[in-house]
Amino acid sequence: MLLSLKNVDYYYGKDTVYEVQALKQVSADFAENEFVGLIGHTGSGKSTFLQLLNGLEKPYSGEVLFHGKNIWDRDFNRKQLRAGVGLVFQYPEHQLFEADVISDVCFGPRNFGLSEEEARNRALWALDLVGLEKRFHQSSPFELSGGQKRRAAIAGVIASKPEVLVMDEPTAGLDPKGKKEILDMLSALRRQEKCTIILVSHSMEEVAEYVDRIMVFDAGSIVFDDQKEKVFSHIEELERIQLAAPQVCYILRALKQKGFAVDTGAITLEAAKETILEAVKNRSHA
Amino acid sequence: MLREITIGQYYPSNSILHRLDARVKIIGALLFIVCLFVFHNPAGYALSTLFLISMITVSKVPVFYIFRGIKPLVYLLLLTVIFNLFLVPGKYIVSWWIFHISAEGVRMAVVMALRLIYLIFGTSLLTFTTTPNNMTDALESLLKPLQAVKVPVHEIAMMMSIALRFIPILLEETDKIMKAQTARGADFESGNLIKKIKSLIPVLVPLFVSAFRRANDLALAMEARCYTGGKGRTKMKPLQYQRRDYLAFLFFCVYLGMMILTKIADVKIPIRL
Repeated sequence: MLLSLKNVDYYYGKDTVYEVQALKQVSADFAENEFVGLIGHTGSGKSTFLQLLNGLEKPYSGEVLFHGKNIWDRDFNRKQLRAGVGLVFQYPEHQLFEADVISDVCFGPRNFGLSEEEARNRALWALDLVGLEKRFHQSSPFELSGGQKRRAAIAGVIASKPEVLVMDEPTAGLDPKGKKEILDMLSALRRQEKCTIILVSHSMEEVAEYVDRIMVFDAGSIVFDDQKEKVFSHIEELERIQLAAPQVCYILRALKQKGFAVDTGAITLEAAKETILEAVKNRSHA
Repeated sequence: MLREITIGQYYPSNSILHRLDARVKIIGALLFIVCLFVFHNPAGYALSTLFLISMITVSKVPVFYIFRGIKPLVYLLLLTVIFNLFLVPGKYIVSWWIFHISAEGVRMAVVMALRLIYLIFGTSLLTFTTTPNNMTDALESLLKPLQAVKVPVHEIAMMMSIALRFIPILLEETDKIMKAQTARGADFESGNLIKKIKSLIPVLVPLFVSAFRRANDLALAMEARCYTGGKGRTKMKPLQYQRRDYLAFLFFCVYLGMMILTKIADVKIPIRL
């Protein structure tokens, strides 16, 4: 297994009045070239989970394994782990600091021991991938627009060519077009580089459209971890933990109740369109 | 990483100390500090220690929390101790090359360290038991007399409360930025001093940018709610002394009286080294 967590517990403010158990006996496995979506309402432990994956936080108990090796072993090189498991935080544009975009993107690769030239090539590759045009490469990251800053910051992590790319709400605060571009870019990256992508999102439509597998977090535990179609068939349970299924699921359910022979298992807009057209066609034939 | 810095933070609890009027607590803390520096006889220190221990016990703030407040000031403490140890003249008890330690020096070093630590304890106990809001209100109320000489008391109090409020926010922000840069392979621990200082640039630049952004947002939000300064501003919860506050004042008077007594009686416990 590429990356896995075994029975991990994590606390914030252990032994104070602020003590909160952020994760309770969490276990998860990530294989190569997977696209996994993490959903759960605010405070359910998603962000903590992400920080455990690349060793930014140390589990209180339990193990985190990368290529089968415990990352908290004494002789484990956690710096190299972070090259292998890239983490993009929420609002990554808040971490830009260099005088120009390309130097900022080079920061990661250079830290991970690449030569100046290699780092630059990686940076150019990453900037091209996120779709930041050449004319922006020399400008100050603080002069860019919000969406461009976001891309520059994401490029800064992708440039290290991680085997696992972890993203905490990369589309938060972007316009619909910007969101789609970032998600399409992630899909393309996964196809090209055969890397695993873990994506946190609050949009059910987003995860329904892009990921294959969904993990649902609630109060520090993983309540579902399955193929997306299966997870979204538990609408009632999802609603109980303040989540929902994609909107099309509700439409299909309503249609079914009205007597249309639609497939309520469809979760994307495209699939829903097809099953509805099919149902309508069959009905008019009958 | 930085979540360990506890100085200037509020620790929610429901102790008597938490419920006291903030003005009482500020006066008490000031009294404690003044006494610490004015009455430097062993009996005075013993009394201060007793006072501090009883306050900490009453406050219900975990002791290790209070001790952690010293952590960021450890170097300052060390420096004070070293300077006092080597630079205070007197009868030398240890001499080696150009270094001389006098009995006086040892005494001064211990006294200064004790004073600083007590100072930190006393003031952090104040911030631990008082919400920033209460603190500002109290300061404003205590400094009111200065308004007569055109001191912008409300504005000063507001600035202080904002500054206090921003300490945890900026610490959290620093923590977040450090983590984000660590995720990009930044290393804050290894290397020599120059390398370490250089490694802070990726943290400091975003931190400054974010501090300005936050300040700007806050100013905008305050303006949007028609904030125009202290003039004609009323309070939703005006401060009012309760019975327990008068009792606390009485307690402080007793403390001060006992301190003065130690001075008058001049209980001399000669320190022999």
